Amino acid sequence: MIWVTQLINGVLLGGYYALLACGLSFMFGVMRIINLAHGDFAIIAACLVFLVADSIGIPPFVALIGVIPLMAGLGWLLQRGMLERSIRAGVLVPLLTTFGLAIVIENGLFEWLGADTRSLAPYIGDLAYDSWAITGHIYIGSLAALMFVVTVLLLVGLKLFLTGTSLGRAIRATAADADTAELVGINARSVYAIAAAIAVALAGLAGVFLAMRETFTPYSGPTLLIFAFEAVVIGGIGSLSGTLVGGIVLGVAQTFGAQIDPQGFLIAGHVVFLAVLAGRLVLAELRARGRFHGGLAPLDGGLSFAEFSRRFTLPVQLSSLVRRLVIATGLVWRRARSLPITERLHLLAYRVRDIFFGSISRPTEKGDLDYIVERWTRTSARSSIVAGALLVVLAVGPFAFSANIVDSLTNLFIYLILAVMWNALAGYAGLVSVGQQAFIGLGAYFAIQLSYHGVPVYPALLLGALIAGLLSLPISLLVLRLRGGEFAIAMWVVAELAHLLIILDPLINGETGVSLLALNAFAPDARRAYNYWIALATMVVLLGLVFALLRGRFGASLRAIRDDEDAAKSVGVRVLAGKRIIFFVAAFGCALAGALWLATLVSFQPRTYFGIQWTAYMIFMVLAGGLGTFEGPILGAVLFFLIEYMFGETGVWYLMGLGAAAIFFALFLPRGIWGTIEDKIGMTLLPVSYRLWLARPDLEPRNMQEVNEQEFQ
Amino acid sequence: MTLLRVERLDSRHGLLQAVRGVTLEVARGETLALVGANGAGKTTLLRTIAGAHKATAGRILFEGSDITAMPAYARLRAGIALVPEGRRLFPDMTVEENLSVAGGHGRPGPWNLNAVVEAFPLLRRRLGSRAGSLSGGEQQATAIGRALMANPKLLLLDEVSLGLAPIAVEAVYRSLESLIAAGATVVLVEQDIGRALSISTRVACMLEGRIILEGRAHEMTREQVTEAYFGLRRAQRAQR
Repeated sequence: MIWVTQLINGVLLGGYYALLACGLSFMFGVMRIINLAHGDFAIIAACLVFLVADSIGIPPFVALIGVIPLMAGLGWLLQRGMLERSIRAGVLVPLLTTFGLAIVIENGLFEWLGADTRSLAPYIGDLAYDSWAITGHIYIGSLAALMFVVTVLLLVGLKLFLTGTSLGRAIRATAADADTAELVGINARSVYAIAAAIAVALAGLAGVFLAMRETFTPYSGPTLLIFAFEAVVIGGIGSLSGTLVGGIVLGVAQTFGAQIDPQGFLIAGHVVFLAVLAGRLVLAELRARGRFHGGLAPLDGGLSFAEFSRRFTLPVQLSSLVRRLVIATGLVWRRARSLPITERLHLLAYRVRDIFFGSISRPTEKGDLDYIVERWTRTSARSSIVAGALLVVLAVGPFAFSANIVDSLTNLFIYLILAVMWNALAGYAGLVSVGQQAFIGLGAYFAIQLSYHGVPVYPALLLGALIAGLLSLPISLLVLRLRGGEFAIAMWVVAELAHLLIILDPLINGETGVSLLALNAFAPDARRAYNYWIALATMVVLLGLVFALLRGRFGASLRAIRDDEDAAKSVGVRVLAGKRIIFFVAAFGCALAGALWLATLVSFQPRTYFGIQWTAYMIFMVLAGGLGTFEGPILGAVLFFLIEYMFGETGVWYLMGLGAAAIFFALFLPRGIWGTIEDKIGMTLLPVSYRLWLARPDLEPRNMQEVNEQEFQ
Repeated sequence: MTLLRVERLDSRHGLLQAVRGVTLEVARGETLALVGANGAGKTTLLRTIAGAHKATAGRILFEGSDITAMPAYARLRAGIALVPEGRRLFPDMTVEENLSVAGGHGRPGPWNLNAVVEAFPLLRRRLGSRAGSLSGGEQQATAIGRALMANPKLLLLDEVSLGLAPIAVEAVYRSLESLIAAGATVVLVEQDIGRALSISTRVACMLEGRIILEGRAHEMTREQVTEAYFGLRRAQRAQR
């Protein structure tokens, strides 16, 4: 009997999730945006209704009449003020700006209202606990039933609105093809604003319902977003009736999970979500195989690791260098045959230099240079020498600097690793992840496990990170086929799930955490120095690895994936394999950073390591420095380090500032500080791409363009 | 009487300048055919007139008033409708919805659902079907009908015969001829020079973003147009 009650509860809970999800789904359907601040808008509405009920005594259901239009207004403002600009800037930018906005809203609400847990339940009288007895043993909560009915009515109403009214048809036309909608007289800009208003108003209503059925804090938004997203994906994105099905599946899974274990509520929800995702991918794959490959294609269609390492090993690199020398010099010699011998030799010398130093100049038939392709410049050569010298200075750090500075620098190295990893993922492979903290936490967790199983502590840090990194491979099977916002939130779910599972481990003591006691065997000073050196070495190795990866053909194919996945596929880039390699590298790097963080902090509290704030830091560092530039994240990490040093004490304001800065950079300086410098004065210190200059600047002034290495082979 | 006047219009796609200093006039009741090779700038010119593409320089005057800065949806209300290349229907909406969405935002006038079905009888039985499920000819008829629903004073047609079976092209052009006979003002892009010459009152030939030949359709020969089309004259000059 208890299961029947749970089933009914689950279905009713699902109605509430559907309400939460339909705004998200609607916005995605019309604008192709996943609003990462969706849950936070729900919390804004909950807070407003609470304030009105608490201070003036207006009942929540009356307050709704005022708050919902207000939320619609906020949605309109959101679209006009932020999203409109974001959409124009590309696929990644709306994710970054809405994430920044989420941080600003959460911390703003916290600053305004404090951390108290609140609920509207005391203000709605009997409704909060009333229930109907269906039979002797089965009860239905009246509030839950009311929410279910409201949700179904809203979904039906929305459907009728979209098909039956002129505005609804305009919204559908704009969703299908905004350009053409303009041509048939629809003001797409205002349709978008109306759609955003509807979506945010729906979120607001869901938030108020949440506040009636349970408690909330200023930081409840992200959980709501995850639930909403899970319901949307389970039900099929963009479909309103699917949202209801998805919400119900999620709700039932959660109530059944809770029946088994108190932690099971969340875990079951996430597991069902990932299972549905996996099921859908397998199904799509089977269908595709049946039609196109006759069952022969490998499941991931990609390059195996063995194959990858065969291709990118030193002998291959060397033989390619020799081949290029022979072919290219021969070409120059032949093409320049009409010139006097001295000029021919001169051109040849240029060519050889170019091949060794990475820039290529191409002579035309007439002998003058048509265009120049360059990689290393004098500036970048000099800057590499400076960077090398700096490293030498840093290497003797623990002997020269005070303990405080050594600790700070260790933190800086860790930030730098994180920034470079996130940039490799988002800036070069186009994978915006808001769940990299999964690997930060897992790296630290496995290090602790290994250490408690007798592995010496420093090797345990490295091994732990490696295990966490390897875990990214099975995860990649699931998430890498998703694009844009879907990938972003799926990674978030992965991080949440990892967090929930790890606190089940008795070693960790739940959220209380545990300390890496083995570190106490070292004297504090020695430990400080070891941590410093290991962090420095890790940073140098990882930076070098990413630099090497990005410079070659692999880097070019990654950028092709980022810019246009389908086009990349059509010119033979192995999209999935490329993404998987960078996903693994980034996971491993983040796991190492997490393990190093553990080495400096000693204590492991799951909440800190699996916290979403890491993603906020990474996004800030990369956006401020310059997304998709190699030098940018390094600059961004230093900048973040200084900002944290100066403002870290201010807590909430500091986080709000970071969020606002992320929005600012995404909207107004999308190439970040470094990218902007690079564009303006054309300087690269550590070049990973080629640059094309016209040798006759009179034709088109300073026309430069990144090109693939392949073009010149 | 001049309905549309384009003055020294420039339009670009990023670094590529697709339309270079184009000046042209269309009088009321006239049919102007734009011909030219792929990439000559015809589609960009039409889209710039319709407001789907921004002009970088120059002016567009419609009924004497400057509409260069007017957004596309407002130009439809002012009386300019474009049938875009590739038809661009809303595939998940029914034919009727496709038509009425434009009708609801256009000008009042003789064209309504019934009139469109009258002009394109093949649509009568398809009104409730998803636009994406129609045949090419039916889709083209829907696209033209959708533009007509707005009761435009100026109809812009971009390659309406592209990708259609010959018999469907015939049907579309028969409908166009009756439209033109009824006094509509039309600017159309057509790859088939013979058809362009026969249906239009004037022909303008574009090459590399410029109009290099313009005149009354019945005074021009196919050879003149072909020569301009491929830029032969210019190539000969360069050789000499």
